[in-house]
This record gives sequence, structure tokens and C-alpha cells, in this order.
Amino acid sequence: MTDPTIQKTWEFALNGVALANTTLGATNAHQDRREMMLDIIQALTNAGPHSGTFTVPWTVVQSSNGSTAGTPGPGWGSISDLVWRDEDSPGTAYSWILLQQTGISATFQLLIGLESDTVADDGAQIFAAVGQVAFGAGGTTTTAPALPSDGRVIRDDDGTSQGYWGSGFDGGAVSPAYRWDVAMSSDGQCTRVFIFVDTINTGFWLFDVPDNPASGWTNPYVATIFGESNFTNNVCRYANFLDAANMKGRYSGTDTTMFLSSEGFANSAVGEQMKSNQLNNTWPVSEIGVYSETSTFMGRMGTLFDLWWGEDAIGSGRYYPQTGTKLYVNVSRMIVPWDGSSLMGTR
Amino acid sequence: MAVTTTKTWQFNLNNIVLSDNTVSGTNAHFDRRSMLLGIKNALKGFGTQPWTVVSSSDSSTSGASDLWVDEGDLVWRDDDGAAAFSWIVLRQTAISTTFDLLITCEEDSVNNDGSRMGAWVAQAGFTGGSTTVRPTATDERQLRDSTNFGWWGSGGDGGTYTYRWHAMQSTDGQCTRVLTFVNDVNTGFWFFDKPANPLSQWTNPYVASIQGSNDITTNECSFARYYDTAQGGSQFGGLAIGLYLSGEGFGSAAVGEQVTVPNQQDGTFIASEMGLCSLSSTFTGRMGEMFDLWWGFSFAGTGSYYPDTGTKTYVQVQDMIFPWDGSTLIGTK
Repeated sequence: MTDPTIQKTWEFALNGVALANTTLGATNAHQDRREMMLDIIQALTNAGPHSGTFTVPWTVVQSSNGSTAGTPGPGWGSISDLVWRDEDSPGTAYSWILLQQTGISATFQLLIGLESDTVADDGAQIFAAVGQVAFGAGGTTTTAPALPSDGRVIRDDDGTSQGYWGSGFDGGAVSPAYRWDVAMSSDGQCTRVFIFVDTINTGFWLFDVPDNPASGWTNPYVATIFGESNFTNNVCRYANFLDAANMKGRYSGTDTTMFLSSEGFANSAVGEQMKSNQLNNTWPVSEIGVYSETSTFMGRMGTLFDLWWGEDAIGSGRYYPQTGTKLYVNVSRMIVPWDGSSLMGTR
Repeated sequence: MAVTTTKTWQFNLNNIVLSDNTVSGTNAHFDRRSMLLGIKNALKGFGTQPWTVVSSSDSSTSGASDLWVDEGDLVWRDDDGAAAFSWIVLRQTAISTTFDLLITCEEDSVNNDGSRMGAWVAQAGFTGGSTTVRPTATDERQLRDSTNFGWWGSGGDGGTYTYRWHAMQSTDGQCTRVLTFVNDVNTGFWFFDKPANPLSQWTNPYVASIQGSNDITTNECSFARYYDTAQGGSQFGGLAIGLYLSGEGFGSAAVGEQVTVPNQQDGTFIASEMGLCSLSSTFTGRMGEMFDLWWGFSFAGTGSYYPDTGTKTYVQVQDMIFPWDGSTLIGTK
């Protein structure tokens, strides 16, 4: 197929690195995991040493660093501000941060809580929720952030739903060097985060206004924070998003889960069925639709801006067009806008 | 989703052939001969850019004219023999200069009673032929094998039925579709199309199919037939290729199979563009798209019209959505 066409203008904070370091201190999380989380938040908010340069950055509404909390609170200025707790110990002080992205809706907010099923997970899990009714006051303690009335959990650290966010394994001495990349549309409507360990895409975050949303879907959004509990499975693959409804949204007061559709045949996506076109050497590129099978909200909800399904076996790091301008890159099976640099999935 | 036609269409719809099992020396039931004759006449009769007859045989005579005048001119033979039989070569120059369709009235056994045929397409033009030998073309590509699975929409071997059939063609002649029905079941689907947005390397692109089953219970315009299997016939570089009709999907099936109710947000139905994908051994890739044909919503089934305003601009036949003329589709007597 022909190369995709970008609808938005994209801004980037790419090729961040957090070197392997398992030091815990009193934070219950490996240093490299804290470093990566801190760097991603700083990139999203245009703040600190790892600031992005985004036109419509996320802003910090409230925060806790495990010692103090407030509006906007202390923020996360260094890795020692990121303190994990066991989610079964709700009275323990810990770190959380409430971010807002007005490009999605007036008060679209993302809460990240540094909790895991057990502190022995060493920062491999988090709690995350999004909502559009402002989380509001009352969440200014170090033990309990506020949840909005329309809050929608997208990562749960309760041990059943698994709160993996891209840093891989629970606990142990295994904590590698990470690479991370943030891309945001200049209107703030679309934010994507990609995490890598070596060449494996271990994490994918997305917070988007969908294109062509179904009529009646007020303040539409699609969101995910998705990681695997290993360093071997790519996250941006068909199994996680075409075959499973791992995109989260909310319609008329009820949580929905959504699949990311693709052109396909014979019960698989074209990118799974075909490699490069043997006639003109082009690669499968398919628009991504958003489908809900949630009972009472069944149907096509919209499409995603500037994200495409690609070829199944190619893996990360193939650039498009093939003229070398690197306007797009494969991250596992997805094709994303890129800035012309080389994707470094490893240190 | 909304659909919009790219082409303008002309129609010959809701034709009926009453059940009649008279064979009388032709080895085929009268109703089958009558339907095939009617389809041929419909293809010849479109107001703009109709098909033309290049040559034919009525089993008594062969030559460069249309010898299929009435049902008695359609004589089947056992394809294992050398008996005289009927055949016809039709040409549609809008697909390519000499895009030809050859239909032969042959079957595995004369006891099949006209349920099967042979069919080929070619772009170099069919030549030759006599009352006992079919014409040939240097680049012919078989669509129907009279020995194996030669069913063309008239149902099972030996049966006799009342048929409904419909023909439509784009006014530029690039797209022709035929639908046959028995008791509201879509027993046959023929199409001969020039694809949209073909790969530039694909010289004289076309996609063609004649499909039927050995029963009157199988709907042919189905995901099972064209999305799951490569039943769109074509050629590339002199070799035959099979094409899947792709569509949007998730979770190991097309969206029209996955979603079982109209969109609960806005009430719209599924309509997914059709791509043409090849997995043929040396021609893997996406080849183009179909004009004005969409995958629909399995749950809706045949006889659902779009838009909902009652204009019947489009109709669903099993899992596919076709342009329509505003009439009511009749699939049974």
C-alpha cells in the first residue's frame, strides 16, 4: 500500500534512556524504573531536565511525593519523589500525580498512582485512571488521591488485572536499561508513549481523541497504558489490540473497552497475512478503527488519528517512506509518525 | 457507516424463471436453460456499454454470432465425451480491449441436468471452437470447472427450482454483477470487474468470479466464500491468481461478523470497503479495491436496504452491500 498520510502535526521527545540500576532506597522501586517514569512525566509536562517542547503539554493538577501532597503539590522533581506502596496498605503514604490534557477535553485528567500488588514488585506495576469530570479537591493527601465521578481505571495493580506499565518483570534483580519515546500532536489531542527494552517494545501508552467518533459520543476519548510482565513480548501487536479489547473509553456514563480494527481477510489482519507486496515492494498499511463490543455500546466508535497497523513480522525500526526520510516508523506491528531520527530501542 | 457509489449503475432486476424440469434432449432442465439464456440476454441488453457476443455454438452450428436464441439452443454434454454442445463467448471492452468470458454447457455427468458449467475469462480473446470443441485463448483463466465444483447458481445436481435473478452493470461497463436466488437464498454470484486503484504493475487488471453450490441453502455473497477464501479470479504476469475480498475486522473476524446489532451509539450499520488481496505464491500483496461493493453486517441479511430513509439506494445480499435501483429485491417466487 502507499505510505500513510499524516493528519496532525507531531512533536516528539524521543530516545530517552534510563540505564539499568536496581537500587531501591526507600522507594520500593528500582532506580531505573523511577528514572523512566520521572522522565516520561517531565516530557509530557514540559518540565525539568527531561522537558518536552510540546505546544499543548500536560499540566500537573495535583501531586504527592510520598511526603507532601497538594494542588498542584510538590510535583516530581527527582527520582526520590517517586515512592511506591503496596496497594493493600491504603494508609501508607506514596507518590501519585494527576495530570490534565485540555486538548482531549476541558478537564481530561490522568491519575498515576505508584502502587503495586506488593512492594516486592519493585515498581513494575502502577495504578492508572482517566476521567473528564475534574478529579477535584480532596485528593491532596499523601495517602489518597481523589477520583472523579467518571473515573475509568486503565491500569489496575490489584494483582488480578496487573498494573504493568512497560517496565517489565515484577521484582527480582532483573531491571534493564530502558528506552522511551513520547509523541504528541501539536493540538494536544493525541499522546503516545512507547517503551523499549533492547529491541522489544515493552510498553505503550495512548491518550487520544478519536477521529470520526460515533455521533452521540460526548467528549470521546480512547486511552490505554499497557505493558507486559516480561521483556520478550512486544506490546504494540495484534494479539493485544486487534484480538483483545485493551483500549479503554467511556460512553454515556459507562465504561467501554475497545478493539483496534484493521483491514483483513481469512480471519486475520492484512498485516498478519501478507508481507511486502511482491509487485511493488510496498508494505501492508491499514487504518485503525475503534470498535466496542461492550454490551449496550456495540459498534464502530471511530478511527485513530495517525496510527496504522503494519506488517506482522517486520518488528520495530522499519522506516517509511523507503526514501530514507523516516517520516514513519514501525513500533512492533504499529506504524507511527516519526521525526526523521533513528529509533533506538536499546542503549 | 455511510456508503457512496463511485459509478452510475444500470439494472435488470427481479427476473423470474418458474420451475420446469423439462429436459428434452438438452441434458438440462428448462428452468436452468431459461435462466442462463436470460442472463446472457441481460448482459447484451444494457443500455450503455453492453457485453457483445463474439462467437457461440448451439450444438448444431457454431460461428461468430449469437446462436443462443431460445432455451433449445443451450445443450449440455458430459465433459468426458466429445458430443456436440453449446458454448458462448461474450466480450466486455470496458475491462480491456478483448476481455472475454467463455461459458460452456458441460458438466460432470449429463445427469447433473444443467447444474454445472465451464467458464473461463481471457484478455487475449477466445478464438476457434466448433460444435464439439470449445474456443481457447492464450491467456485463458478458468473460473468454473465443469468436472469439479462447476455449480453456477442453479443449485444442486439434478434439482429443479424457481429462480430469481438480477443483473447490474456500471454504465462505463467496468463492473458487472449477477445474483441468483432460490427461495430467498442467494445461490449464485457472478462478477467481472475492473478494480479500483490497482497496482501500477498490474497490466489490464480484472477480478472475476462465478460461484454457486451443489445445494439451494448456501448463500454465495458471504464472508465464508470471499473473505475467508480466495475466490476472486484473476491473472498477473500470465499466471492465475486467487484474490480475497478483504474488509475491516478485529478479533479474528470481519467487523460485520463481530458486531451483531446496529451501532448502539448512532444506529448506523456496518459497511466496510472491500480490498483485493493475493496470497498466491509469487504475488503476495494488496492488488486494489472493488468499486461500489461493501461488506455489510451478517445479522442484517438479504433484503436490508440503505439508507434507512426508504430510497433503497443500496441493498444487502447476504453479507455484501450492492448499489440498487430503489425497487424491492425479490428472491423467491
